[in-house]
Amino acid sequence: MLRYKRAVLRVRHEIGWFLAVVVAFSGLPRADAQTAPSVISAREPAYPTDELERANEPVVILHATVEVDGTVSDAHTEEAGNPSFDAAAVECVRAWIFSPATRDGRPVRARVRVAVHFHAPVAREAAPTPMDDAASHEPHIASHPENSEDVASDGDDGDRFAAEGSVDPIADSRAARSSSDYEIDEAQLRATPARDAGDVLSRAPGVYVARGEGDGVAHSIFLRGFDAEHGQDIELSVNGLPINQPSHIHGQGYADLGIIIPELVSSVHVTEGVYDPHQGDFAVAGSVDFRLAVTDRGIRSRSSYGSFGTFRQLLVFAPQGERDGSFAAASFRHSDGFGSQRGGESGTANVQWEFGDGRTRSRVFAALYGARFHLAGVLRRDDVATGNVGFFDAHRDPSALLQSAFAARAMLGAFVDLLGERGSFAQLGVWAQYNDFRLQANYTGYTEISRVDPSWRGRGDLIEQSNEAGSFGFLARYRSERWNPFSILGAPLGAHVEVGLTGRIDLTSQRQNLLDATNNQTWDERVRASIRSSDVGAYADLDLRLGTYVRIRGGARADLLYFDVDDALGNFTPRFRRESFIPGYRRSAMGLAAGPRATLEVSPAPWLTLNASYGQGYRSPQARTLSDGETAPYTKVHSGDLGIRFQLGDLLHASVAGFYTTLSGDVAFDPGEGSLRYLGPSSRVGAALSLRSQPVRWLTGSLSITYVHATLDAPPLSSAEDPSPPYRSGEALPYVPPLVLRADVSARDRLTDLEGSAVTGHLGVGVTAVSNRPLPYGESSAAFGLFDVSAGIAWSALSLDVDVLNLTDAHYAAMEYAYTSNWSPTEIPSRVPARHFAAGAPFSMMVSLGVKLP
Amino acid sequence: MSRRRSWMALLLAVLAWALGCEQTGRSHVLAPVYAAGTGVRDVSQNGDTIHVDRAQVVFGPAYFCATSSADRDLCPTALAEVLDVSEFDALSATPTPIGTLRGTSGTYRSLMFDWGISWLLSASRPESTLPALGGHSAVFSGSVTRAGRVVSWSLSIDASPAEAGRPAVAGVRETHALEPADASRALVMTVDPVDWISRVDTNEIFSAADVAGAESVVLGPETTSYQAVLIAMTSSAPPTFEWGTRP
Repeated sequence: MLRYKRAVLRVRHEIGWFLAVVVAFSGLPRADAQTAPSVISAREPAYPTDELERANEPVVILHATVEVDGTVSDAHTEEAGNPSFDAAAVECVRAWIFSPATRDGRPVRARVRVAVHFHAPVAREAAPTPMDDAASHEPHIASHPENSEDVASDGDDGDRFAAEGSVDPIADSRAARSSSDYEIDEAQLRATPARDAGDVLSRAPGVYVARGEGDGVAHSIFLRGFDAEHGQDIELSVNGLPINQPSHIHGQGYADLGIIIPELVSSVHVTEGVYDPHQGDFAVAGSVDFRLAVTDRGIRSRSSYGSFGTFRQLLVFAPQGERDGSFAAASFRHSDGFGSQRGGESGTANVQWEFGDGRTRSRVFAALYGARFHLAGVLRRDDVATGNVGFFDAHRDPSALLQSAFAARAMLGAFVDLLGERGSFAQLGVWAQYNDFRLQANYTGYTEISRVDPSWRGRGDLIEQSNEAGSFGFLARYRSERWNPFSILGAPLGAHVEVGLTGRIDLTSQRQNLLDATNNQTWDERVRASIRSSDVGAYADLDLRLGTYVRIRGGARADLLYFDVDDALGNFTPRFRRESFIPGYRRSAMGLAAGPRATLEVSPAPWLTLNASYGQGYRSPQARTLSDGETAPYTKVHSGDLGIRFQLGDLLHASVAGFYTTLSGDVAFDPGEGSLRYLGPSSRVGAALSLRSQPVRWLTGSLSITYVHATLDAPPLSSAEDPSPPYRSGEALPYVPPLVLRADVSARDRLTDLEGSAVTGHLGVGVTAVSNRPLPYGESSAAFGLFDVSAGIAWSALSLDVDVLNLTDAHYAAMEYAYTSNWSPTEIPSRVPARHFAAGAPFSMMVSLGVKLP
Repeated sequence: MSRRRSWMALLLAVLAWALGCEQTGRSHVLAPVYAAGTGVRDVSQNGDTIHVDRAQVVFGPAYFCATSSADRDLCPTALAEVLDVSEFDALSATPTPIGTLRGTSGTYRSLMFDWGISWLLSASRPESTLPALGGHSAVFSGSVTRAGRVVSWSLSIDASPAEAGRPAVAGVRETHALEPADASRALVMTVDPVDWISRVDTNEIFSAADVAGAESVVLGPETTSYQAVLIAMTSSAPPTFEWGTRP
């Protein structure tokens, strides 16, 4: 602390991170050629001495008038906050010098909204910011012209200036492309309780997240008509590190979000569709990137206890004075679980350190996760209806009582950002992961016969799956300086070109057996394979601006995938046959997946953007399904999107999008094998509405509604079991909910002062509604709605929160299936598919006590 | 007010369409199943006349499969099934209800079934699922007449599956496109017990009578007649199935 106090009183404004300047003051669009003000000289604000002890790092938003000579004639805060910081920010900005806004080449008066970020005067001397010297101002200033802007008519206040985007070139390269790009910010994420990162993801429009197989198995995710299972159709990443695992035994693209501590998620970037050349494998329905940061700096402890003997302990260490991206956090959770067979423990640790300033920024991220939970498995609806088993129970069978899941994962990544001139940058990253997974689950009861020795049968279909993988990868990308060759009809042309390279190698070992639960014996062996796969992707991305109103972004991406499979049980010889060869089938396959992605963006006004997007994506295959030399085994997706975005300050952010997607080969969960089976080509057409509003400072609300009509476009493949599977043109894809609604409302404000410290309170309500889901064999699952409520109060270093999930105690099926099973081995078995379900969590309440130290 | 109601009705209709029209292309089918004989009781064989007095048969369970060759391995999931196990008089030409077919729409091409004795996966041996006939699949009795001599015979067939999980009768070719309209119809299974019994060896019956010195014989599993009838029931003369109006 002494070192902190002795530090020179210097602060950083780092406009680049926070100049998300928006605005809504302008009038109708005009054809005039206009340019926005850009910063020439920006001195640092003085950190208020009376705030040194607390070392807060607020962001103060100001409105400033930039005169024709570039000086600031007026500056005032958008809303009153801490008087010391407000005064320091105003004083600072009034001294800034801008390059004035112009219209038709003439300087004009303009108003601009800026954000000043105060950093506590800690040991930043060792980490200079871009503003420490004159030279380092250049990238910041040069990047301003990238912002879209609008200059309104002259008036007493001067022209009002609105800008969108960010001066951070990396953030700019990630800016929303289509109307189906969503940035779920911290206010939305904190509105209602989130048990895990799956709950965090459920805030995204059109997303339904279920955890039907228990807390030890990855979430099942549904997005815009895609049953993404455990991640097969969604490219998931955390801080840029990929989460999906190719060729996983439990499902292609398996992605366990348990490795993310939900309290660390500061935003979620959701791209619904495939329109960005950065999107790689599994980006079929879209991509999701969880971004971790801790804005509330200090040491924080949060202890939670609640329903079903659930205990959770969270510790967060976010040292004052470091960047928001520097933190260490760990969580532990124990729960007896609702109903029976759902208890277990999990532990997660996330550590990240961001360092470097100016032109070089570095980040090291590490994460560890381990979990073991019992599984209740799925129940037959008719068994529940007849009272054989309770809604939240598990089958009373030895094999059902041994269902469990274990997962362990470690991730390590290091990234370096090199910022150049005029919006250029380079980014390099390497990462490594280790994943271990083991599952014991019985989906079908007693239907299996051993393939090793067919006389072994009726011992219970307890599937044991194990998957161990080591993965290594890298990324490299470079964006060129802005290129301004000429103007078209008075509109300046500006362009960046980005090229990138990604790569990963996965070494996977996997097995699947049948276990005799009573004797803990293996009575059949189904999979024993090792897989080596690699994916090298390259892309080029053009970012072209035609004046103020038009932006074209797009390019192409190609991925070369290679698979080497050693399938030890290939050409398997049952014991009763005479062996004439050594079992095993080794094979390799290679193929190229390539396609274009493009977006046209027209912004006739600062508050209105029209988008049209098209792209092609792909999903790699489960390697064991490949035959030797197979060249084009990739599922191809074509995705199109038309939409409109409105942005009226903080009052309303709205987007409406219509989308159409086709997929060359869809798959669905096969309970018999505990994995995925091929369905056929499919398509989806739908629309999504997303609204977000902050009408007053203390109140935020969001609403999203997504409707999709997902259909199977061709009959399923013929087989000996079914030579001509029944098919009706336009029949619905199973498991996919046509309608998903999500609404969150949150109020958070200072209530009073006590002992000189503010008492703040918050109240949040979240609603999820999921429509009927069609199931195979003409079945359908019921619609349901869930209400979650969160309330809390904080004073000084203490906080008390109460989170209620499923307030109405709705009994609903988190997941539902239709297939054949037999849980009564002594009775005549049914072979006709029946409805099975995994119960969703009932009413539960958690009380949390938090302590925060500076 | 009526206009508001009209709008509400329209809104509800749109919602119903949006939420309720998503179907995966199949429908449930539930239909009664009947069993009937041919009504014939006599048959001639090499100058002998065989008369059947009694033919009680146990049928079920039965599985209707999309595959062309219904079997344990090729029909893990059936299109429809009759899980009821029922006894019926195979000599009566009048259809007797024996259960209910439950399933989903689609084309079945073959079926597999048991004659009242099933070998469950978890069982160590085949077991009768209906004790009505003393645990047998079928009980036949009658007489055979040769040159005025009449010998009574009886036969109790156990049509047991050969392996656990396998049906006694597999791969019976019957094709029908099952559809919801079938719910108003009935599936009638027709058996011809006299045809089965016609496979007995009358010489064996008379020889057995001569050896026993009695005019009544019991044809046990060791006899060729027993095996012939068993093969007829399970392989060479399976029942036929026909959809028709409800009796």
